[in-house]
Amino acid sequence: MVRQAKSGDSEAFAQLYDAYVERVYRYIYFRVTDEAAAEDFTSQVFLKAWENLERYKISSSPYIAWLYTIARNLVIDHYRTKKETVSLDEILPFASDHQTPDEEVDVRFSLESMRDSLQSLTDEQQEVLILKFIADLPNANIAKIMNKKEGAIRALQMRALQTLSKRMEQKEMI
Amino acid sequence: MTDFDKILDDCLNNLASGASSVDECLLRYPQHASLLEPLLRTAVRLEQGRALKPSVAFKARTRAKLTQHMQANPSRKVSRAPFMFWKFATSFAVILLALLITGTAYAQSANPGDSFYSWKIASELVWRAVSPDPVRTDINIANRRIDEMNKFPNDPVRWAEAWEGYLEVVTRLESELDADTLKSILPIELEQEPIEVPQQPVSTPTVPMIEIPTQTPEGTIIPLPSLPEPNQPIPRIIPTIQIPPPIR
Repeated sequence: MVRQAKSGDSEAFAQLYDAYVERVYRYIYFRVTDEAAAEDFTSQVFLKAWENLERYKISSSPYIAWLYTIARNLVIDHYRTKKETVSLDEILPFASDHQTPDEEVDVRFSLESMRDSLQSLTDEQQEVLILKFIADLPNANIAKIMNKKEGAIRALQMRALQTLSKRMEQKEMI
Repeated sequence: MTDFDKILDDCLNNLASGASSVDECLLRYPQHASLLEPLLRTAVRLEQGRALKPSVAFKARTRAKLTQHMQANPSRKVSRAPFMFWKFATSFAVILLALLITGTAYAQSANPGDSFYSWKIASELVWRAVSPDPVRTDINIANRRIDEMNKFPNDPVRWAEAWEGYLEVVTRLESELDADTLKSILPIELEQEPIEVPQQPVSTPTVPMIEIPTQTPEGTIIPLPSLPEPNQPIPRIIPTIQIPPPIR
């Protein structure tokens, strides 16, 4: 599919979008502070991916890792120029399209709390935890995306997990 | 990586694959349970984030936007073919040139009957074509043929091949000789000492004598150097002052 898209097949690229949009969105959602920005960046990721698809080397890393790299750079650029703070009340993520209102409120609250806790970490700590536990990427790919060695990624994960667990304990989230 | 790091890694992998739960991990490593528990529970909590999905409306909206964008900006697919083609062509040309140079250099020592001899003849034609002084070049080529004949006095086939080449050059020279050319080469010829040619004991194929009458500016007939009697080595022709090849 990626090969087809690389050869200019827009339909193949649209199918790649269908396959990966949720994962990209999820990564961005936990890295930014509002849903509008998450949506905006998610679309930008795919627009950029289409424009730069010829540069992507299939053999170098999985396609999703390449998308995460684009997303990461967009988020970094975003924070470099503007650090927004938006109330979590304004954010309306939907964990599922088939939830009762009560369930939806619970899930929303849970995700908001998690994001709140995550965003109290350093950028690198946030990133490494999101890529590892939410994006479910192996350390080798995380190392590539973050331009670090695998050993450094493992150490960073450990510190990030320790810090986050303390924050979550304080909030009685775990 | 410490022991604790390894244990944590193991537990996280088991949790991710569903091979074991947090409690099972804690039971497996009771001595680290107090440290492990908050980390594993945090990891499990984070994994719940995988349930997050963007709204269907957003996905559809973005897909439509993307489709529109793709139509407006078709993939600038860079065809690698021309680049690869030129890369291949350049490499091929370099190899070919190297082979040509090496082969041509090697061919210069080829003798009649050798596989590279025709290459030598071809390279001489090129040499003559690009030479600013074709007459001098032809004289040099004629001398080469004479050298070759002298090398093989006992081999009629090779000798004849060199002889044919010599005749060809002489014919060319004949057509090139005009008053100016003669002016430039005759003095040297006249100054050239007659070459003492010892008798050869070996027999060579009988070759016709060559005598090319040429009109000098003064109207005198001057013959081009003719071949010596058979069984005699052939001297080089004007205006070169090289010593004739060793006589066998």
